[in-house]
Amino acid sequence: MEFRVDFYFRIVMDILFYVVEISFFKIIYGHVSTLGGWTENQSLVFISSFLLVDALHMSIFANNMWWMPFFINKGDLDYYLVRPVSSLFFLSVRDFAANSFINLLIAIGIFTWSLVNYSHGTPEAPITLNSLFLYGALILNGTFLYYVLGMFFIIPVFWIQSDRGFRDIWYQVSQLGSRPDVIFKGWVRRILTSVFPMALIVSFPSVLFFKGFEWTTLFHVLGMSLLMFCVMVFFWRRGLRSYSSASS
Amino acid sequence: MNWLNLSWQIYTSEARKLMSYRADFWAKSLVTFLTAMTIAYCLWHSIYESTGKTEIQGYRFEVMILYYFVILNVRKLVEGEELGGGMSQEIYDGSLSRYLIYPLNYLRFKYIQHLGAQFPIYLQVAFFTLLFPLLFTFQLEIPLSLTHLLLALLIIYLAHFTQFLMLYCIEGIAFWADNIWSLIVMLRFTGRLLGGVMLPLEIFPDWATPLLNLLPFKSFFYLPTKIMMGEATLAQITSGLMTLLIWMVILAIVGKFTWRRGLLTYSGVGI
Repeated sequence: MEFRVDFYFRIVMDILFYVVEISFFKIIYGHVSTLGGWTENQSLVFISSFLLVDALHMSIFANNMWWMPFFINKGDLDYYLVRPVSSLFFLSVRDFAANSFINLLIAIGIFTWSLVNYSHGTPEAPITLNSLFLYGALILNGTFLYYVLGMFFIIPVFWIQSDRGFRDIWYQVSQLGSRPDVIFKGWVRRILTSVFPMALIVSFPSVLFFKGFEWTTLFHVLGMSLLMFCVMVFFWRRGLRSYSSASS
Repeated sequence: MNWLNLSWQIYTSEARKLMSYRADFWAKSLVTFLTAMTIAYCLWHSIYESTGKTEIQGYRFEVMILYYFVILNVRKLVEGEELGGGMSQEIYDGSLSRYLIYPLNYLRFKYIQHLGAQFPIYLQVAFFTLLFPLLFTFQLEIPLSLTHLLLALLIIYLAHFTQFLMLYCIEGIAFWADNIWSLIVMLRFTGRLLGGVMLPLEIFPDWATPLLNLLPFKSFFYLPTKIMMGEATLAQITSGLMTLLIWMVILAIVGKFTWRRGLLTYSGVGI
């Protein structure tokens, strides 16, 4: 609370972001009854889940990812490399954003509201404790995948010494995850479900929740998340080999 | 050195600075454009397909895609690339002090810098305009005359200046607040929703119309887009211009007041 005004501004900023994103879907559904086969309640569950993922990411990873390029360029990574803990883990979770935690609570509230709305409608698949638990677990996996994909835009700093542009590019491409995968077709869909799996963050878990459990979808989501993580760790380790510290 | 000469130096210096990161601004710009157009294309293709309609609120699918193409470029021209003009950072680190000593008007200086930062965007917009017929092979007749184009460019310029005044007001809050970045971000995404960048304003519910007409964002993005598409009426153009001018005056007064009060509290810490 040292920077109180910034604290409150960020809360207001995130609330406004939530309002804008939900309004986007509300306005569209004023003209259509379904979007890619999804009803308004389903789309609201989807977007509130994405906002929840975003809030989790902002609370746990975002601040830490923000600082990584500076540590890499200034040679301040040494402090983390000498610790008997994975440097990637330490750097990724060392700081918890308190102002984003308030937004996380708000996002959980919006998520709960959307689930209640959805349950009062006519869900295609029964909502059970198991389905809710699985969905929650996949949201957490989605948060992790969101972090992993974001890291691909930070790791190049090891070689090019500048994250200028990469951060902005990541912000733009992450917008692809905030729209239901059902609207994407053809090669765009293939890219978003495999090469750069933004659709697996919230969209695929939402499909599992709406339509019922499918092993193939679950394996796809978990398998791609694991694959992306392994690739990211590979590049992180390659990046560390190129890292030149401040002291040597 | 007269003001014109100095302004030219400031303008070209800022343009050269941004052009030195060529790979960065082209990559960022291309990805932004392609991502936004991909989302718009896929979203509206899905909407038209699921409704079975050929027209939604007067937009055929091809016209909708053209709308997004034009408004995304208009947005670039009005907003620019950089988040804010750096004024808040100068307040925080004390480098504002030198501008207080220099024999120049700070607002004028920052505006010319802001204009200089637009130069690469003109090149990007020209490039994307050439790219559009390659990406989208629609047959469209656009009744764009030279008058329409000049009028649209005038409104874009006025919108750009009004948006700069908004930033000037917001960045002046830095005299009291420790971080105003979030306010600028709020302005950006609110403006994009209420200015028709995310969705055409015809799609909005009727009860939102008075609010959309009151705020300047409609004149920032939506109005120039409609002019370039040959779909703006004289009444809309007049109304939009008046809105812009009124907001310009309001923001100029608020900005002047904010900075005058802010400078009284400024201590130049950081130098």
